[in-house]
Amino acid sequence: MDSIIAVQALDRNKKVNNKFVDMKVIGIEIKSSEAILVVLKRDSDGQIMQTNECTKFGIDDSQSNAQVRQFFQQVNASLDTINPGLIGILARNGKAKGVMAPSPFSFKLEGLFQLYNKKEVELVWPQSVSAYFKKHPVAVASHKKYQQDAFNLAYFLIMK
Amino acid sequence: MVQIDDAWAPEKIREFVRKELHIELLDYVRHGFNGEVYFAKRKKLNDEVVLKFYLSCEGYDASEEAVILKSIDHPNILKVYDLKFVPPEYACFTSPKISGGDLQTHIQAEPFSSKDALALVCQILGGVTELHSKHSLVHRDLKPGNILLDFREQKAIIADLGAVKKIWAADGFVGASKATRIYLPPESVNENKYYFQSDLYQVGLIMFQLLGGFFPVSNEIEWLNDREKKKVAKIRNSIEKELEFDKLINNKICKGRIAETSSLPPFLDASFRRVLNKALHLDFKKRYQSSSEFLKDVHQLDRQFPSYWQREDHLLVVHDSGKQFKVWKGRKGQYIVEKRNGGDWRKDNNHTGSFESALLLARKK
Repeated sequence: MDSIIAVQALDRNKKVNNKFVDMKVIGIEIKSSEAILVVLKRDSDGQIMQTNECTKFGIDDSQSNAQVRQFFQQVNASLDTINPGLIGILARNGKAKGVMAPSPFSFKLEGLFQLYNKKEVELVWPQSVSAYFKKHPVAVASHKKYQQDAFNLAYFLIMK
Repeated sequence: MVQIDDAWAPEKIREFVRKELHIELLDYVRHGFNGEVYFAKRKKLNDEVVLKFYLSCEGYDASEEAVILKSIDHPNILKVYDLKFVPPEYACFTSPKISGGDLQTHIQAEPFSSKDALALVCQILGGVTELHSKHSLVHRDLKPGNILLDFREQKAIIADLGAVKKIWAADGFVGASKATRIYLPPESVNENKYYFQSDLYQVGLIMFQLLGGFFPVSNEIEWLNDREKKKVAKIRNSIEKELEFDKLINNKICKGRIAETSSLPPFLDASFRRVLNKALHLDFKKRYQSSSEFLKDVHQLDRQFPSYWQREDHLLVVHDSGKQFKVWKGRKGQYIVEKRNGGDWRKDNNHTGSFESALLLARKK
C-alpha cells in the first residue's frame, strides 16, 4: 500500500490546482553498480506518497554487453511503467579525485538513464537538494533507509 | 506466378487480391472462423507480407485490431503497413511476414535452452510493457500461438491483437476474452475479470512452457489423471462430456494446477520456480504488479545461472565464460560429466555419479 509521508499545509496550498498535481516524480541515485529509484506521487489532495513502484537494479559485470543491454531494457521498462512527469538523477562529481571519486562505471549507468527519450532526465547536484532541505526543514523519511538520498531528490523535485 | 487454391475465400476477397497489382500472391490459409490470410510478395520492395481479412465496416473503429496495431510502434509488437476496406463487409491489413512462424510450433518441435527461453520472455515483456504503460491495453490472449519469431532479427513479436481492450484505471479490469480457455487466469474463470496482472499470468504460462514444464496444450486430456479420464470417458452424451471436461480443467486453473512448477525439468534451479510461482500466483494482487518488476527477476535468472539445454541424449550446460558441460546417464545408472573449455571434451570425475553432484559440478562457474 502507498503510504502518506508528509503534507505541509503551506506547500499543499501552493501546489494544489497547478499542473503538477497528480504527477509522479522519480528520484534516482546511482551507487556503485546499482540504481536506486524512488517514486513519489502528489495526489489531487496535495498529499505526497512514496509509491510501491520504488525499485533498484544493477549490473554485475560492466564488461558484459548482454548485461548492459539488459540494464537499458530495465531502465526503459521501469520508466515506461511508472510514467513519471519528472525524472532526476543525483549528479556526481566526475572530477573528484581519490576516495571521493565516483566509480567510472556509475557514469555508464547514468548515461543509460540519459538515453531514455520519452521524458527529460534532469541531473541534480546533491548541494541543491541539501540547500532545499536547509531552507525548508521537513522530517520526511523513505520506506527503506537505503532509499533516503533518492527519496530526498524526488521530494526536492516534486516541491520545486 | 504461383497458383493458389483459395476457393474457400469469399468471392469479393478473391477479386480484391487479384486486383492488387503491386503484390504477387504466394499462398492462402483459412485462419479461424472469419479470418482469411494470404501470403504475398510486394513486387517493388521484394519482401514478403501477410494480408489478413476480417469482417468490418467502412468507417473508423478505434477498437479494430489493425487500428490498434497501427498506433503502436514497438519492435516486439507486430507492425501494420496498411489497412483497407474491402466492400461490402471486409477489412484487409498488411503486415510483414515473420520468418520463424509461431512460438507454439517451435516449443513442440524442440526444447529451448534456458537462456533462449529467458531472452524470449524478456522480449515478450518488452511488448507487454508498451501495451500496458503507453496504451493502457491488455492483450487478453497471450500464448505461444500468438507470439511470432523473427529469426533474422532474433526477436519475439506479439501478434493477434484481436482481443485487446483498454483498462481505464491502473487497478481496473475488463471482462475476460473467450479466446483460449487454457490460458485464462483464475480470476477470469471465477469472476470473468481480467487485469493487467492477468496478462503477466499468461506471460508466466509462456515462460513455463518455454522452460519445459508439463503443458499438453495440443492434447488437453493429458491434464486429467486416470480417475478423471475414466469419469469423462463414462459420459456418453458429447455435450455433457465436454461440460465435465471443461469443469475439470477450470477446477485445475482455479487451484493453480494447470501449470505445476514441480513438473519443470529437475536441472533448473529453485529460483526459476520462485519466479514462476510469483507470476502464476492464484491471487492477482500477489503476482508481479508490473511487467518491469517481472522483467527484473527474469534478468536476474539470466545473470545468475548458466544456460541449460536438454538435448536428445544429454544435458548441455553452457556458462557465459564459454565453459561447457555435458551431463548424461551412463549404462550402469551413474551420471557422467564431460567438460570443454575451448578445446576438446574431457571427462570430469569430480562428482559422485549422482545426478545432483553431476549437476553441481556442471553449475560451477
